[in-house]
Amino acid sequence: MDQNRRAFLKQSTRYVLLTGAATVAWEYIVAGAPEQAPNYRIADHWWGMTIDVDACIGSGNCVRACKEENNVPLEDGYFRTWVERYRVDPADPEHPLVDSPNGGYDGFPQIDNPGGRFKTFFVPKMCNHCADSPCTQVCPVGATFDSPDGVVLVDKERCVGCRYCVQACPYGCRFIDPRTHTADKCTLCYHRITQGLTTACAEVCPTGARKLVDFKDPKDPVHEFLRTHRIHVLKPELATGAKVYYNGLDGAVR
Amino acid sequence: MRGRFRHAGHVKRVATVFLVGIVAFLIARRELIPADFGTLGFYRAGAIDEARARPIAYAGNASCVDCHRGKYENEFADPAAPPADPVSDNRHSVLRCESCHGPLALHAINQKKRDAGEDAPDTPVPLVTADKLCLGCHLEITARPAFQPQVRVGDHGDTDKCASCHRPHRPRTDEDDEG
Amino acid sequence: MPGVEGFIYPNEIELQWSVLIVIYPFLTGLVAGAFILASLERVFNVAAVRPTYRLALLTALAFLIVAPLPLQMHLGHPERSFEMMITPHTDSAMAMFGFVYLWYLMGVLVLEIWFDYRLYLVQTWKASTGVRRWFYGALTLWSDDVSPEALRLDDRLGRIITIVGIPSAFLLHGYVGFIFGSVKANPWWSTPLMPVVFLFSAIVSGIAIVMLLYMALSWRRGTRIDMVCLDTIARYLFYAFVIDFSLETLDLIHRIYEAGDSFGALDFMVKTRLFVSHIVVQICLGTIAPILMLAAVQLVRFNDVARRRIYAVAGTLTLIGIFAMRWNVVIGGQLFSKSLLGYTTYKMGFATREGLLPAIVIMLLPFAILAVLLKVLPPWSDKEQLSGHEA
Repeated sequence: MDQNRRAFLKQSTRYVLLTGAATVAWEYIVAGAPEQAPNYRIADHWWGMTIDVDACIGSGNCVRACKEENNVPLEDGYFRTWVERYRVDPADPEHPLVDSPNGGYDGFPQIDNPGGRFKTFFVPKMCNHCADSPCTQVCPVGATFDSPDGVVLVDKERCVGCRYCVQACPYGCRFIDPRTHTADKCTLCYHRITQGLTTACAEVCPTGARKLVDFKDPKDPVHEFLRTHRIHVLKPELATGAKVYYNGLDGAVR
Repeated sequence: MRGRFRHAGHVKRVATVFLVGIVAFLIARRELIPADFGTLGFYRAGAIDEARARPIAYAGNASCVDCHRGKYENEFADPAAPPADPVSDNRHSVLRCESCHGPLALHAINQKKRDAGEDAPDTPVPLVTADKLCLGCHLEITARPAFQPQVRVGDHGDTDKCASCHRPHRPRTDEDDEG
Repeated sequence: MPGVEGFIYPNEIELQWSVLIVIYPFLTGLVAGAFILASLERVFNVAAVRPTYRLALLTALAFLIVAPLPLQMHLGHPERSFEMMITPHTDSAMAMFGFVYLWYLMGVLVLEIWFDYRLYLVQTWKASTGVRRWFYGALTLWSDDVSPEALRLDDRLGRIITIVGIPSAFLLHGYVGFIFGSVKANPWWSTPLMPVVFLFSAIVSGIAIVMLLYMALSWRRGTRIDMVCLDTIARYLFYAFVIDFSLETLDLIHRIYEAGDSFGALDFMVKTRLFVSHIVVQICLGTIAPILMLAAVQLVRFNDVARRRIYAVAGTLTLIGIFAMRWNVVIGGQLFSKSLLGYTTYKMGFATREGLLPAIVIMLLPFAILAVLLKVLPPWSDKEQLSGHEA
């Protein structure tokens, strides 16, 4: 990479979303050995995500990008992230109508909203990377774990495929990969975020509804975001320590 | 005391069998546990590196801009009349390239290699003009928020292609500007 | 999507735990129950059930040997199951299974049977030739001390093992219940009553199977059934069943009365997709009917033939009911979405890895093993058989 381009990357504030660290990592990506990028200190990070429900337009970009980036089986039934569409009758908020055809991979078809009386919105879902995750608690062999930087990962070399973790996840975020017969789930694009890139879903989101956040980074706008917004996590009554924070989440969302 | 154990020979034998079994298990266990298991927590520490060692598909905007800086700025902001507020004037200026163009890490890596004189296949950026792509975000459907510009197919622009009126990188038309 | 009603999370299309995981708690339940019946004689001195003591132990062993098989068949990577032993995760309710299982198999059942049969093993060893001699010699560990002192020691040790074995049997099956009861993500499973309900239903099913086996084997061997023994077993079955039914009813009433956020979904499920297997088979046919039949025997004096018929029918219904209970827990707990907004169906394959065929084979396997065990370690001596005829 020549000096001019590097200088441009460092100076630019408007278009460049990455830090200097990513520029270094990029050289390793080009060299085909991304894991050797030297500048990632695991103890300096604590990852999570914010999702702005009001900003989601249901494009399904995130679902497609996630499958592409992470080599997720393309069939219905295997999703690391998906998008749900809610129609809530204001008179009966406890029984929302929800659809998520093929997880939103093909977008959403037009659907009935009689008289426009329903409250409607999209909700992107993904692994909550819980701080007290029920799935890692139940794994009998230590094949799934919370990494020191707060990401729930699966060790595919050790997973025995007992499916207890799938049962234990209250959010339906896990599945068994039919090719490896091991548990699979969102890694928060661990191979990307440890090199200064954002997750694939956040990268392609046309409205910026999803944002990767690093709670240990004092300069991360998440601190201001959490201070100034009414935020909520999914199923807080289960005390999982979910780290995907939703802005504008409706009470009808399950 | 000796008398108590005089007829316990068979008990000693069965105890020995159990003891041998337990010792064999403990030895096998020592051998079978991966060396890096438990160094960071109750898991194999190497699994973290394996999670990192994956190829990326989406290069990220910075690497696009890195090479296509001129193209990028010209397309989004008309140099003759730079937008006062790029977000309200041209909402597509906040889109990342790969939102529409798809995953381009391979393109970026190969192109970098070619620039450096190395041998790598030519992987051009595919041209995306399909209306389906536009409609993915702009078709009017239930639950799509009001701030998002939406069209009903048939009601808007007859049967023309989207790109016949809207430039993808700067979709506002002259009519939009006037109206 | 066929079979799906309402909304389920997209990853919930596939049911995770199949019929094999239904069989697993059913088998371990039979083990725990059979052992507890055996311990009645040894620890609680219920002399009347003596004729079934050894049969109950062998039944427990036969079923225990098969118990891990459905789990093994179900794993995505059976070849890695040893990891549960070498790196058991102490936070995981499932991780201790290997140890609990091995402890119960080796530390309790095999040892107790060995001490109990030692005299027979030594006598057979000394009296036979060839392969048979070598085989029985190996089973005794080539130790031929059958002096009165040694046999007294065997009896003492056997008694200690049984005393340790009762809490172990409780542990074995209560533990299986805990694996389900501790899943907070699943409101159908998540209740502290689950281990207790599992335990008592295990006792019920174990007593029932030994009772049926005793009747069937007596019929096959052409020996008279000891009716005092049979009546006693049936009485204990009745007691255990009443406790089991009370606990399950308590769980049900608690759910209905509390009517928490999951109640609507679970109520709908029980009234539709689980109606036949839960209300009809488990509760009416498999619980209330046998309880009423066993209660009738306590109240009315039937003759021997009528009692035997009642016991045979009640025992069979009991096993069907307990199997339905395992089915309703395991499969029922997966028929509703964790979003509580939709329901799915379980489609069982036939000749697939987790289909009906392997399930049937696994269910029949313990009986084959038991047949071999009965040959190698006869529970009744010829003298007893003779006295049975005379009586």
